[in-house]
Amino acid sequence: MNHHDSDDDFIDGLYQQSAKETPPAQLDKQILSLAKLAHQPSPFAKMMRFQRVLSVAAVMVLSIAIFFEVDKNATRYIEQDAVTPQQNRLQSPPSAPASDQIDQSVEMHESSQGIEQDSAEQNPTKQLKSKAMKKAFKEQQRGFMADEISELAAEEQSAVGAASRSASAPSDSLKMEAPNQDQKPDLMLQDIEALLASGQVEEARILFEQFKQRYPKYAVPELIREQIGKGE
Amino acid sequence: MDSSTATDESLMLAYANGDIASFEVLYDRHKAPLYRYIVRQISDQELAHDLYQECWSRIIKSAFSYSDDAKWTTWAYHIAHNLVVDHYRSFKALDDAVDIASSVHSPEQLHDQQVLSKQLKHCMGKLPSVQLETFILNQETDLTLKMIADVVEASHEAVKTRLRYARSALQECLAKFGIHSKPSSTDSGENA
Repeated sequence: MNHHDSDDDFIDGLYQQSAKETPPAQLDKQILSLAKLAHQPSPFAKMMRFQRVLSVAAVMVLSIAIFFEVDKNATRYIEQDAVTPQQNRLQSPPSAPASDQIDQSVEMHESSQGIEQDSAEQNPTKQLKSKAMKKAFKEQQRGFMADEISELAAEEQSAVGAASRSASAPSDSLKMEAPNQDQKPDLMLQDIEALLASGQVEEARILFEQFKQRYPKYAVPELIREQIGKGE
Repeated sequence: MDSSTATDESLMLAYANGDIASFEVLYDRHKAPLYRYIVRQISDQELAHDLYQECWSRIIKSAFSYSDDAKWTTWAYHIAHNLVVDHYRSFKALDDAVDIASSVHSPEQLHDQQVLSKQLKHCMGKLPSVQLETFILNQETDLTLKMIADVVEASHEAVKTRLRYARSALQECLAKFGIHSKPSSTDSGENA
């Protein structure tokens, strides 16, 4: 054992003999009570814990409710969209089931004929906003073509020739006429009223003339008569 | 669990789970060394008491996050070290140092325990703080030098050096009071 080790042992021994200090009892008590308090949750902490759980539950319930609400609305909108087109179809006149075909054939006829129609008559097709007005205009076009056909027929009979016989046109117009003839008079009157309401008196009068030719014995409402009469 | 034989780590974990009795055993085991560690570095006793209480308060609050990866004494003394470093350490010689230096003691008096303790405290008070801290940790705990290095956040070599210089300084200081270590009987004349 060297000198240094003995010195170290001496100092260590000296220290251990002098190490008598201990904390006062008051300090011990304070620290031990602190240790006990640390494990006692405060009422506030308990409440906070309960509130935390409640908040989480509330958020979950709200989320589920919102999810179902959104899902219900989405379903409702889809159903509405599904119903609306059907309703539109139902509201369209039953006597014109092939109205789309007729429209197409009208357009084809016009283009094949190269008929230069009055711009005022062609433009209304684009300008008309309501379906009733559009329908009325198309009826007018059909009416024109019906007149044309009758004129052509007359010319044929007088043996003028088939110059204006755009073969598809007469058959198309005949096709078109069939539904026109089948159109109920009250629907025609509705179209006339719609035209009058939109201020298109001239078209209304033309349609009215056609109406009178087809249904000469059909009672015309007084209001229409008056309005047609005023326009003259 | 038998608290008397339980390790410090298991007692701390038990306290974290709500066993107050485990904390009481732990406190009883380490209160004195930890108290001396702080008191012998801080000359102001009132401040030393505040720091001591604050140290245990932090130990209690950290109980729930304590893990037994590190030795409990390393962890606890690291808390105490930080507290001491953060606060003002008034290095003041002991009031009775002059009395001790000026008085002549008879050989019998020199061996009086009370006198020896006072002289040792006086000499310890003259040590630089880092050497004093390392010396106290070495004396009060069973921490190895490597663990002490972890507590004081210094290297192992630095801690070794500090401890060596602390002992050397204490020996020189005690020698001035006529206190020498007794030569070992196994020495072969090296002390001659």
